Amino acid sequence: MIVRRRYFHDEIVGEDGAALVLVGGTLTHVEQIGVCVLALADDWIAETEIAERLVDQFGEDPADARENTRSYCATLVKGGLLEVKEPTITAGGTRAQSVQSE
Amino acid sequence: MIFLNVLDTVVGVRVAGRSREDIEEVMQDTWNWPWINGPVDTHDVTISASIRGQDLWPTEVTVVARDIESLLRRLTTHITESAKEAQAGRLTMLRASAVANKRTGDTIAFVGGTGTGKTTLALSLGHSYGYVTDDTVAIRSDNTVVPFGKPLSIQHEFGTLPTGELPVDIVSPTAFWLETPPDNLNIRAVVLLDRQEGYTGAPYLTEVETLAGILEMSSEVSYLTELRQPLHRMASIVEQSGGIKRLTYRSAHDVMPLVAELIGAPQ
Repeated sequence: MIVRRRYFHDEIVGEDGAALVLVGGTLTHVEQIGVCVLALADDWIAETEIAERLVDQFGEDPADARENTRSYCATLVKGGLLEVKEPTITAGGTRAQSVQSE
Repeated sequence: MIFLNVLDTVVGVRVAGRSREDIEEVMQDTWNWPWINGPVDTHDVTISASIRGQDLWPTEVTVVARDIESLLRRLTTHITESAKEAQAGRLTMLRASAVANKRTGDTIAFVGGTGTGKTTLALSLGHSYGYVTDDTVAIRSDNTVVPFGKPLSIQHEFGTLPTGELPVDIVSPTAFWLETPPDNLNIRAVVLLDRQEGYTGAPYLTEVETLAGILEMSSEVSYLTELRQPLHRMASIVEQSGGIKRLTYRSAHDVMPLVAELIGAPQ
């Protein structure tokens, strides 16, 4: 999955990794996965790279980071905090790395 | 025109009509806490007021009512809201009451919705501490606090005023013989109010986790999203306050020792 975060008016993160995120006029409490939010760039980014950033910037265990990132992102997409580009399906049936144009 | 200094905003009130002198006299009695004597060069907001059916100067905000009492109530609301609107994006404005240590200026804000006892706490403690506000705790970017002694909306259950005057719902804080606050107000404690009618034990304070507390506080902040980095602003206020506390209590008369723990004993 390739995602980017929506424009955040402001964000703060607690010591336990939870975050408060203000998107437009809506304030959301993001439990336990605030570090994931902060790891995201404004540009489109693959979830595999998010996992690497969690390891680099927040010292997460690499195996945990990889395992958790997918569910983190799914939760954040569901909560409206991330935009997502769905990967396209090639004629051969394999998922391509390229994405649809914006 | 009457000029009022409200939340760092100069509000001009232009009263018109046959009742002008009566209205201005009562306004001087009820808005005497932040009163600015004499004319000022500029002001930020102009409000026109009159009894319905009498003359009215057309301005951006107009208030009319059927009698002086109703007009005062509506004016209090309009003056407050106009000042808040003018300060949107500048001041962090909590729906809270507050008192302050008269020596240090350390200020405690009691944050809560309707019925949590904000006004009662401020009036009770305001005889020992400096009375800051019963309505809005306005905090500048350097975490200093703007006092806001607007007229109070008092229900009859509070009893007769010490002065025996102004038998109306809108009265000046001075009618309660409250202590005036010092000039150097700064936010030192933020307390979320949990008033429980059936609670019989001693009042107590508990720590509130920072993010959960800020989230709870955010619903009591006017024009939150107009602030630049509003969450960082609130975090700064919380940090200076040593964290957010929750006060569980029943009666305002019992909380003085807890307030002294947070901003020092009254002078």
